[in-house]
Amino acid sequence: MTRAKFWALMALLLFWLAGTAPAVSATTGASAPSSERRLLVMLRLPPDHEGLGSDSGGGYGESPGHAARRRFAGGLAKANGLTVIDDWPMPLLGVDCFVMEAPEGRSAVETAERLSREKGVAWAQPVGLYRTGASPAGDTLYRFQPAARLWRLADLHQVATGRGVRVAVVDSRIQANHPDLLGQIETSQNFVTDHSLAAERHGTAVAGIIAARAGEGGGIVGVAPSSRLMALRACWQTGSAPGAPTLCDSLTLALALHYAVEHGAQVVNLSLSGPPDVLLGRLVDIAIARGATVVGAYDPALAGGGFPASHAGVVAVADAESAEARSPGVFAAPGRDIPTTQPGGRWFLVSGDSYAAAHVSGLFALMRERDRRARSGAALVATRGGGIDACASVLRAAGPCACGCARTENAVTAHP
Amino acid sequence: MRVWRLAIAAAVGLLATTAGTARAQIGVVVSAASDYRYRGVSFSEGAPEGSIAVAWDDPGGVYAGAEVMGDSARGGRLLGHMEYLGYAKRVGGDVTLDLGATNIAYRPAYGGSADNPEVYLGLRKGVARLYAYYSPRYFTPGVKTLYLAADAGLPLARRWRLFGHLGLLETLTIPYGQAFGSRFDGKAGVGVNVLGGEVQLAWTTRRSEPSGPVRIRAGNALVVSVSRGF
Repeated sequence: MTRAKFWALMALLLFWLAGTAPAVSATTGASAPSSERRLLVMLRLPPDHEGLGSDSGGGYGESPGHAARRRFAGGLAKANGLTVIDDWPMPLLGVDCFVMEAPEGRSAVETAERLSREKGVAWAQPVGLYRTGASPAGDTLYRFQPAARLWRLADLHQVATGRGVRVAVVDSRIQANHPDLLGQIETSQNFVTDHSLAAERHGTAVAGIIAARAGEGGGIVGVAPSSRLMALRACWQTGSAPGAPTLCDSLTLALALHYAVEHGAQVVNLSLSGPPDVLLGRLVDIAIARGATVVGAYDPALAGGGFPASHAGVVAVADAESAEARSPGVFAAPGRDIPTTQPGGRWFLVSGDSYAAAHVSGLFALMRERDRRARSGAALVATRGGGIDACASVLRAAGPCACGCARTENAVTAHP
Repeated sequence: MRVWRLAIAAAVGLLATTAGTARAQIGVVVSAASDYRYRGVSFSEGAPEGSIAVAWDDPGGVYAGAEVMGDSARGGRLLGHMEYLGYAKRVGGDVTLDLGATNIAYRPAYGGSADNPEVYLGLRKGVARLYAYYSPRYFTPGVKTLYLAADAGLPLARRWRLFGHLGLLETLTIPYGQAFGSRFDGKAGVGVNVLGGEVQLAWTTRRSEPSGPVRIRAGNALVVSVSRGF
């Protein structure tokens, strides 16, 4: 065989690839309209190892193991009338996550239950839908942030500013070039399909509360202005109207969480809520086991505050002025009329449990700067009124100091 | 060779006994490359080669595989074959410990054959991996070698990745007073996943020409390959 014949053979192989490629889309994550028909099928992922596909030997691109899982998933899909949309290996969980779509009119829940019983399937689940808990409250910037007074931000920043702490904001797209957020974002990843580049309200607002830079932006000051943000877009804004909800789904959230854990996020902010989810639950467990603090917004409309707030180990946070802030195991933080960053380089007032959660994520960044062990809700100190004593919490992490926070007069008790 | 035949037989036995279960994953990969390079050395003497490989993976960590290669310079006849058997275990976080044995046999165009049986131990963490391979017979009877390899793969986008490899071959025992020195090899490239397969473009290099008994082609080369698993 000559070289010409070889290249002809290679062209034939490429042609064959084109003809036999499975129906796998080239898109990332999932989008809102079809989420209810999508399901996630987890196939066990053996530990990565030497062999074919290793670059130290011949060096193949595609690993045979992956090919085998893809083939198996294709067979499952065909037998059940599904379409394989995409797949995402998740080595942290030891699974390869195949995204499949059920035909019109078929229940994704029932299909997932049936697939879960198949040999070789670790589990299958429908794609859950999550939404952020927030509402815009106006277009005028308050001169003072509630946290500046209630949490004595200036005093807190004498003790810690979150320096060196990596905070993952799993949310909608953040405006990275907002004057208050310039240079605050260490990494930015998009796990949503729509390829939109427009900044979105919720993520930008949450990011500002956590890490708006101090002194130079001319707007607000984040709770942890020296922390480093991981902007992980797993949610999408569904319209441009002020009340348009921001949604996320199991897959986009899982991809973002996986990324956050893999890249060493110390605090993970989840200002969203939805149904319990096996995949997300396992990722949250891994995040916590690896020492991350996971903060979730409490949703009073869902049982137990919804996922992730109801998940063991997650720091559940509610707006301090809401009734649910007095629920057992829920921490109260400022969440009403919060001036924060918004797309277009502007600032607005926002309200909701989402923003209360963002405050606590920032607070944890301060605490973790001083004490890496300050990871869970037990590290927070509550006031007599049920709120968080931010100064006492940071001081507990920092140890004795002669700073402004040391003058706190609030009685300190452990949170129930 | 007997040990390796036994190992292969064991691997085939494992395949046979578990092929019917859904837990074990069996994959086949067909590939073609403009040159077959092993640690920077061309086995196909710069000629294109094609190969077919089968791999068996148990989610519990045991794995095995075999590959046969043919090259165009000899009309597609057998260029060599490779087998491996190993066990990998996640040992916390995203760290995986990997140990096993492998053998690659190579038939030079001018006749004869040479093989390289090795045992290896490796650590993998995230996109990086470090391996040490010990060979009691590095393609030459009596030549004992230690090969250290560092590899990394960096995802660029959803379907693109960069990869790199650095290797150092140290000769531990040299028979007949032959002059085997330290040898470095490197590889860097980009891979793109298209239509269910992968196309790679890689640059490989090797420092210092070995002076072993087999005639080889080393140096720098740009290698294009395409592979498809099923």
